[in-house]
Amino acid sequence: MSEEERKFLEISDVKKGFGHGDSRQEVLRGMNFEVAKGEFCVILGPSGSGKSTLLNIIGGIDKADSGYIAINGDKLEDMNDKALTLYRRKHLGYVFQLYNLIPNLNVKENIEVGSYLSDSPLDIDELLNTLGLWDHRYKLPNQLSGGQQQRTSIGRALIKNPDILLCDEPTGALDYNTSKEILKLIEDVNQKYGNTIIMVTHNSELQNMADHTIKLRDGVVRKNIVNENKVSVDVLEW
Amino acid sequence: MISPLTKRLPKLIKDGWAKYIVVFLVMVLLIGITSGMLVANKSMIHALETSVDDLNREDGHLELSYQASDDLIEEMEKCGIKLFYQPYMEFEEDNDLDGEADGEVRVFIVADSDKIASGEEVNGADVLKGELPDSEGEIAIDRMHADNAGIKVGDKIALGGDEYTVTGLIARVDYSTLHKKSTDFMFDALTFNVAVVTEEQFNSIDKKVFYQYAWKYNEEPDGENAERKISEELMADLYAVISSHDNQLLDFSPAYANGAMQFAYEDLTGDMTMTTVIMIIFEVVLAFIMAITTLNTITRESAVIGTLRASGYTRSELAVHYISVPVAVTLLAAVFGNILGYTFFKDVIADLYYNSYSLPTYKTIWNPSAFIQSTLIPFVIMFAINVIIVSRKLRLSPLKFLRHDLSTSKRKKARRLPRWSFLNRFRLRIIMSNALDFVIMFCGLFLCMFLMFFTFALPGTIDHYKDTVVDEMFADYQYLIKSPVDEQGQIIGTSAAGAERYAACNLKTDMKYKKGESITAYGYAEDSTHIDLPYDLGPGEVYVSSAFAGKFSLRKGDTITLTGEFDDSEYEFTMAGTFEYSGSCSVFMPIDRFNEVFGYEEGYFNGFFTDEPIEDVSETYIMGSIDRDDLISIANQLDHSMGGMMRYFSYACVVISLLLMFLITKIIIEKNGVSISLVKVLGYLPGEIASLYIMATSIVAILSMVISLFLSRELASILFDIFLKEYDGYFPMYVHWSKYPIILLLNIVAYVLVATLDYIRIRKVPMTDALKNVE
Repeated sequence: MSEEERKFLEISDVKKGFGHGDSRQEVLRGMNFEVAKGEFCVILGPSGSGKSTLLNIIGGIDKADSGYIAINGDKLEDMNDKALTLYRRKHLGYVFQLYNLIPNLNVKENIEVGSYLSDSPLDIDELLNTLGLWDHRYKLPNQLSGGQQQRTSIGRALIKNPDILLCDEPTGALDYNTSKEILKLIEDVNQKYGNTIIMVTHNSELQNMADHTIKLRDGVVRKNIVNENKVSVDVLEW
Repeated sequence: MISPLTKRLPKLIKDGWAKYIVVFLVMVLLIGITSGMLVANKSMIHALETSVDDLNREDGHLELSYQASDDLIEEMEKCGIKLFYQPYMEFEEDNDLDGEADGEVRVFIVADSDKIASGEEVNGADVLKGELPDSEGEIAIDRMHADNAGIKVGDKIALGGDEYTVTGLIARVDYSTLHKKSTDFMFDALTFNVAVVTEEQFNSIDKKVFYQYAWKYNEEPDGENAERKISEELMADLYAVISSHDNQLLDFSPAYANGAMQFAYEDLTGDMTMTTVIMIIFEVVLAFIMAITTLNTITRESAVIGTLRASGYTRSELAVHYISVPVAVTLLAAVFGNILGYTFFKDVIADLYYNSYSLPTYKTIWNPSAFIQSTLIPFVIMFAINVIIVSRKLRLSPLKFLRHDLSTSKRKKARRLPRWSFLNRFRLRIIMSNALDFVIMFCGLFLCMFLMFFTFALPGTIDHYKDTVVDEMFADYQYLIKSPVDEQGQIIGTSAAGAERYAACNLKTDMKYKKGESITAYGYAEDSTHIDLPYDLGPGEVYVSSAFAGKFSLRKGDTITLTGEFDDSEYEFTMAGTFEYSGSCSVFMPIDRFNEVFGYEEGYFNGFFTDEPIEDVSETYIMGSIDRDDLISIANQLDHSMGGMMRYFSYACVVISLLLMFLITKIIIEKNGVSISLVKVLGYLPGEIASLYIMATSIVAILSMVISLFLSRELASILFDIFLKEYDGYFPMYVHWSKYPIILLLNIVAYVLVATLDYIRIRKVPMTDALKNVE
């Protein structure tokens, strides 16, 4: 792996706080780590540790107060709004905890929302089959189960074959079996398409399926672990 | 203890303040205008009704060729009426003493107020300024005409060359609008005037007298139907009596059918109904907008509602909470609207009517029905629509609220769409999922465009009528004479250029569409240079004026049934074709046929078409004349009465459509806020998002405008015909093609403004909205 690939995503002394005066709260207090290209990275931490804030800054939705984040050497802080939008458009896929599907579009159309953004999207019918959504492709989100909705959300993110897939607690609203199903899907995607995956979770068991785990607490990286013996989610129990 | 729900009200207001302010302002305007109009109109109607008794208005009048003898009067009064001699003269009026005629004035003898009070005389006048004349050289004239002509008390005007000093401005009770003929569909307060002089003054003038007799029924008919029946019988009886006395009935005009007495009353009543209906429709649209706003709030706050319901709050407590703001806005708007209505709009509206009608002085009457119509109705509409819609939504289980699952659709799958591009399907989905909002926008836009269409159509139609009627005149001058021979038995002739004899008489329709419409039958000379029609028509065939054909939808070959003006003789004709003439509803036949059909001797005629004024026929023989100014005077009056108002009204319509579109598109963007935020997060550029959401709204808005415009045209045309059905004469609604793009453009400009605001609004939607669910 080249140096460039090893430092595919670089987070350097990132700080972020909210509020003013006495009510100001520092959420990220100088965070440093790197993620290599194609890596499955799990960001682990309890509520309030700054996981989602960090993910939002990586996603170009929020800005750091200081420090920088660079993707392939391009610093986000140097980008204006339009460049950030294009960055999200070309490089990122987003999977949310509560799916965030567009309620008036059916499954296929929700996935097309993502494919429209890509110059070389994956084949939608093949992806629908891969995701097990072929039979549900004309259903509206409110006619789907939670798992089906999350699969649709993953499909929307994957269809444009993004460099980085950001997953914010993707199983937070799902039951055990469905959670495993979804995690298996993410794992397969990582292996099949080679996307870099950054997944935020508070489930510590999931670090075992990752190449790389960042443990956060109180806005700082407590542990930065490279997992040499990662296992498939199939064998994990929690 | 104050309920926690009550404590949340400021938050609800803060979240939707822009929408509430817009709805509040529109409602204040609507309620203000409605309440102002109801108070002003009801007060003016009261003044009109009171003056009918106080000034002893006639029950009708008739006009004879010659002054009635005592015998004739006695016999006529045996028909159940009391007659009052109301002679008048007509003069050219010179307002500025420059020797040029500025109009025409009908002069009556001033009525004695004591005799009016005792019932010995009829048709008194309300003096609005100055006083009634009491010596020679003095005159009191109609207040409305004086305003239009700029005549003030103390000014001098010339009548037929003689100067008079204006001592007072009056409103005669039998002329609440200045209708020259009682059957005219429009009055003319610009060039027609009514005046009174003393009896001595009147008798000293050597001028042709029109022998008019007013009547009062001995027994007051009970209602308009009874009056109609009695007057029809009276007309037949009087016609027989008058004919047996070698006199001629020239005009018979019962009060109920006299435009000069009924037009203002009917217009005041009709306008109140129309304003109330328009207000109700707008209120319904606004109530739906408020209900949709509340539904959006409910969707946004579904977790809160779920928690409250799960905690034990009842559906009705929550319903009251969510509808309290719309209802409070309505109540507040009603208070401000009524204050504005009673103080400001009442005077504005009264001024509008006083700018057209010769109304007596009115006193403001505070009436409860105005309050009910302007306050209670909007309140009930807002309350009922919001209660129904909000309660229906709140019927969902607490769990559904907690799960943000507020869909009531039972559909298993989404509707399949055609194989369009993704963006077009996305737009169509936006349109489909916001269908209710768009339906309300369409209704509001349609209403605004329909009203706006009228504001363009009426002036356009009047101008077109003016041009057409002048182009289609038979001749520059048209004279009607009493008989073809003078007192010496010599045939009356004239050396005026282009003079050509014709015969004419008045008939009435006896047809399904409308009975009793006044029709003029013309007999034209062979090789006529003024009425270019073939002379050899088949048996019973007549040509029909375009006005008659248009109003009664007549086609070639149709049978036309007409009756005598005052008797029940019946005539049946077959339509041979249409003659382009918009001036009146008429039928045309060769003069020989005319004389044969109506029983006149061979060679009979009673009028001349000429290219210049006749100066070699004594005025005594001339019954009337029509020139270009007479024909366009009605159109000028319509222009004067409505021109300015129409312009402001069309601007008001554009502003209301703008506000409606603003409200609806704001609601749609708010409703789709999370989706917009989400596609931003996913990397859609602002232009692309606008092309989805604003384009979808634009397609619906523009389509609504185009459909509304064409629907408005059809509806306006139908309503215009219905309106004209009540009156004699006809001209179709005319809107020049260039007005359509103007109406569209005005609305599109308003929409572009709204779309620009929407674009700014979309840009401002924060990406964090999409992430809120995650946290």
